[in-house]
Amino acid sequence: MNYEPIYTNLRTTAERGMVFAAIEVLIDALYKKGGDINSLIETEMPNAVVRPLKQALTQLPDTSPKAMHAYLEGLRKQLAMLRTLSLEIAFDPTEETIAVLTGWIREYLGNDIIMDLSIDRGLFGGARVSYEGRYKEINLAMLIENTIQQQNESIHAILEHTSV
Amino acid sequence: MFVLRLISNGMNDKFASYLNATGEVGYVRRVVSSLTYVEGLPSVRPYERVMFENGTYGYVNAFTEELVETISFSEVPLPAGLRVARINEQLSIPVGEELLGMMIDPLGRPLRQDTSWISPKKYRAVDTEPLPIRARARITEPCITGITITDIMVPLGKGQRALIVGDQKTGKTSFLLRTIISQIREGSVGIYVTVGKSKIVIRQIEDTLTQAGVFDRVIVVAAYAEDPAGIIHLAPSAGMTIAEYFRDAGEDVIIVIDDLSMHAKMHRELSLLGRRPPGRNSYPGDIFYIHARLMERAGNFITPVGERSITCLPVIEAAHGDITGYIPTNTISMTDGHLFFDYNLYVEGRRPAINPFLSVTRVGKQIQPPIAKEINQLLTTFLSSARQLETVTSFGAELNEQLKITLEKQRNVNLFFNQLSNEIIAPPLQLYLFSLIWTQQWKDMPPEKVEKELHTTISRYTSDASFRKQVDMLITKATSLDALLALVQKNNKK
Repeated sequence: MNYEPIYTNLRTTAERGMVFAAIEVLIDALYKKGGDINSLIETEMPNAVVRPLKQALTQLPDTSPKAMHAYLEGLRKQLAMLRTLSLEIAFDPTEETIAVLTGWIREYLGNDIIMDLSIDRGLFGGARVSYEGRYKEINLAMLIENTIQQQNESIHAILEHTSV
Repeated sequence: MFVLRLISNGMNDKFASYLNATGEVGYVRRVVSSLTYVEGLPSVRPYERVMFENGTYGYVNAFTEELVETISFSEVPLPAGLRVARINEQLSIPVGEELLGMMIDPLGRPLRQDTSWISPKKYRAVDTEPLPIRARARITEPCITGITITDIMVPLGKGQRALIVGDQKTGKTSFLLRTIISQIREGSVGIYVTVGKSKIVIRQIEDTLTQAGVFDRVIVVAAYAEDPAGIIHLAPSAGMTIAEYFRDAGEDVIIVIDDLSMHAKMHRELSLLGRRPPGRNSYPGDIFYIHARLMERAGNFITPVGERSITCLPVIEAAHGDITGYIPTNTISMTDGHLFFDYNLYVEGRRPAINPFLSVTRVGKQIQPPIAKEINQLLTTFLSSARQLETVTSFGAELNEQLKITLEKQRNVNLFFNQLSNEIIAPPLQLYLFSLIWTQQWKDMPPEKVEKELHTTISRYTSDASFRKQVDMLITKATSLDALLALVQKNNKK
């Protein structure tokens, strides 16, 4: 089964967590009398996923609870397998920022990747990125520190020259 | 609408510096007791130290296809999701002269807060390759224990790996402490490793060594029973690392590992938690390798300053006197002999309860002084035939004079081997006492009287310098056992 139209609409681990919770609710509702799956999808799922999920369910060859259950389980497994890129930034990202970041990351790493966003107010002018065990911290403080270390001698010379 | 993880306190500086230095990060994905499975850290190596985001440390134990199995030193299970940084160095502990007279944990941290602690500057890896055969020498010096039955019947050599095996509460610790004290008085450095022992036992060990005035030449590496399995498991290797440091610094070292059966249990626990296939008695397949690798780090070595030894005395607790169990037989096969502490002898009142017939030394006899060697041969034959005789007499057979003498001699030899728990007997005195027993100086005396005479002679040797000199001279003068017996008889007639 193709889950790509659904997971490409997810961008962060937080959104994925919401989908996981919603899948639980949907699976429960499948076997209840009078359970309206479509309205549950609208209320429980993140907006970005509602339409592709509804479409995928309607296109299923068999719409019995058992078949839908299998589809949702498959979706859950697929979501768990998504690769994660951790990103620490110093500010609350807007929707637009998240969209830009996701687009940029997917351009280089593929569609099956989501971001684990977190905030560290102590970071100034930069970010910490980790992906598949690799870690990189790029921020203003570190850049200044590195530059001072690398240019230590020339900075000293300038300071001595100025004091004379 | 997005739930974001807020890192309020910022990152631990040390942790951050490790992350930046290696450019690698891992995340705790699964925790099973002390075992922590980490995703990430692509270039991490076995036995490399890692730091968890909460400030605790651990080391890499194994790899699965996707995860890194680490052993954490945290006392509480770590939460999943925690970040992990590589430290890019092998698991190592501080070593140096500063450790002498200290009680440390297997990671080299001081355990007594009231002592003045100067942290050593040097570090050594805990898991190292044993030195190759070309770096080893034949054992040439005896390792004096101060215990008569050992020094005469099952002698040890410096650099020997001698297993101490026996039931619980059969006097093993007392024997080990006296051996360490004797060796320290001869100039060695002592290392006492406790593996999962209670605090009270460790305190008693510390007190005994302090009272003997040798604690400033001892390092106690203590892993308490309540420590995490990862720490307890590390204790023998940590002790051996310290021993290797002192060997390379030009010292002879004696190391006691009390006990290796607990270490085996810890290894089994960690292996089962790591879902490795269990073998005999549920121990993993590599238990022999782990212990043999540890034992191979001891021996007599050729160093730039001459031959230096690491004498290793690992302890194995046998259940109900059974030394045919998996771990006892393994360790018996990888050591150079064993001393068997017999529960039945202990109950009979023999101290130490070493059974000379079930004990073996594969090294000690070749370097035993000639007279002691003669006594050894003589007593092996005598005690064995006397034991058979004892069986016959137990049926109530009438005894002739010769048999009575033999049985009395046997009783006195056993009394001669009996030692108080704090008694250390110097080798010349051991030979002198044997001569007294063998020449029947205390003939027809009741056992209590013989015992009293023995203790009087021992305390006289310690307190009376002229008597000590006289005994030492007698022993030096004697060229053979017969000559010694003649000299002692002559001396006593005077």
